[in-house]
Amino acid sequence: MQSNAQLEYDYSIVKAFTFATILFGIIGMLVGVILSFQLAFPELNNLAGEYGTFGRLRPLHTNGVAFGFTLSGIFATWYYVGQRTLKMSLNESKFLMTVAKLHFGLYFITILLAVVTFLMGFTTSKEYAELEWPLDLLVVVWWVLWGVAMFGMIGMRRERTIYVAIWYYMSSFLAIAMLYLFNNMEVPTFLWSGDAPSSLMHSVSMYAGSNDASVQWWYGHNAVAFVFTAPIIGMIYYFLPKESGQNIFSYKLSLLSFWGLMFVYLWAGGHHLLYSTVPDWMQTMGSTMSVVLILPSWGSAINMLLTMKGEWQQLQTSPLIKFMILASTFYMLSTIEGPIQAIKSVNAIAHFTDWIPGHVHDGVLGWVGFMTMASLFHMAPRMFKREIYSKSLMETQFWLQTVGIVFYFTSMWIAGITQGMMWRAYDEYGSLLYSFIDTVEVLHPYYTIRAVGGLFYLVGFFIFAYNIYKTATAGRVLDKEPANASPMAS
Amino acid sequence: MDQETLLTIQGYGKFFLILFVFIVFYSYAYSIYKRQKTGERDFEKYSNLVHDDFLDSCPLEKRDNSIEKND
Repeated sequence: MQSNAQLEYDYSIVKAFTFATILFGIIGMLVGVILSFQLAFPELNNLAGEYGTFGRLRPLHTNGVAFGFTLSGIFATWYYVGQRTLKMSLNESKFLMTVAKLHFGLYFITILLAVVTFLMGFTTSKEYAELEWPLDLLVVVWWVLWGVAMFGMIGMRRERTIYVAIWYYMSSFLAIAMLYLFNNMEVPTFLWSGDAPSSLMHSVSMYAGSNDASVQWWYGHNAVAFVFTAPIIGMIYYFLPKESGQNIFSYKLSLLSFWGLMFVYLWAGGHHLLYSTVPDWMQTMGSTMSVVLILPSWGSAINMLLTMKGEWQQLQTSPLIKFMILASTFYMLSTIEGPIQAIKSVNAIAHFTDWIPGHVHDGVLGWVGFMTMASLFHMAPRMFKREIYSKSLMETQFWLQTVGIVFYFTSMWIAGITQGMMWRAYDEYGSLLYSFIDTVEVLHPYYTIRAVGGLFYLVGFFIFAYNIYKTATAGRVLDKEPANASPMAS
Repeated sequence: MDQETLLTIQGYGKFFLILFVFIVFYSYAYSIYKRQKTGERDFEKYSNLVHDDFLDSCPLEKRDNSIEKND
């Protein structure tokens, strides 16, 4: 026993980020559903003047779910998993506690400002990097604060060995720091505009043409790698063994897939630029590395599934295990689908079609969303010292969202391949058979199914939010912390 | 330097980089499996970092006095 028996883990920051995860999840997903209905029924673009148009709302959706919902979930779980596996408490350091509070405060303000500025139409027009330069500077400040908190906590740890989940969080911090800085090198135009009118909020990229595209997709794809993949793997390496009471199937495999992922992912971004003006070798490299990426991805996913070896009955009894196992299954699905799409000949059909958002969403809804919500469900009884409010609500949410995801990706598979085939179809004289509007008309039913699928997922998210809220306020009080399976009232 | 030479250098550079990383990666894999097999280091015990993660429980390996010789 340590002399610090009276010390406890501090969950105040975890709670704050949990709140942010739910808030930004609601905003980001609600906007996503509105967008999907706009695609099916374009007249919905006109409901709120300029503020309701697809162009204004789209970056709000992508940034809201990636940097609002997902990042909050990553930060919440970091401050939880970090303290617990390093065996240190934030209570032990006033400095780190202050840094963590500042991290949350500045982060929260930035995301709120992002909502406002996107609605006002300020954007750099670089996908997933739309924030304008003043907000980019803010991002850098709280990212550095996260790093200080992270490495400060690691420095204070009692455990000598840093658990593999922490490696993934560290990789996320380091990689995003590098990617974000390089991709957001931008010049505020007012500095050089002379007498010409220029908004204080406007900037241009420091790179031009193909160079800009290369840097953009090096960043863009690795935003997927180090926001939607690495830290989520970190989450599952902690929460699945903990919730199930099982050891990781192979700790060694977790280390190998970590290094495999780290090396391969950074080279795969070129697959976003197949058949474009970037050098051919870069396209081939992007394509090849994407296929190689199956190995470390499936290494992690199989490791997760085999962790349940001999304990599969938990899948029937615990909705929390169900969320996590389906998350790793969706991870397997999207990490086989992505490499297939990156093969040049497949990409010739898939590129620019709805198969791409279909692919993205079976990853984010199935893998990222499920794993983030499962982590929050696991942490809730420990943070609030209360039983999860309702198991049946969890079951309802699980099935509603699963059906929603299936609606989403199946409709987008069909829509995407239909689109790709119609764009390429030509007659015996070499003339194209269809105009663009022909494809739009054919796709309408699939867009509607997708929107309904998204709506299911959103309703499920509201159920989740309600369940967490009721857990925090009205769940049965626990007299001691549960060791493994989270207690839940039926 | 002309364009063709540049592309050739890029090609060889990429090949040898991959070869280098390949060798390092598989050496690492071989090394951890060998260390596990010979009993030099038990990697699988680190799963316990999750199960026994209470602030008042003993660390699996303390930082100060247990730097194992196998490192």
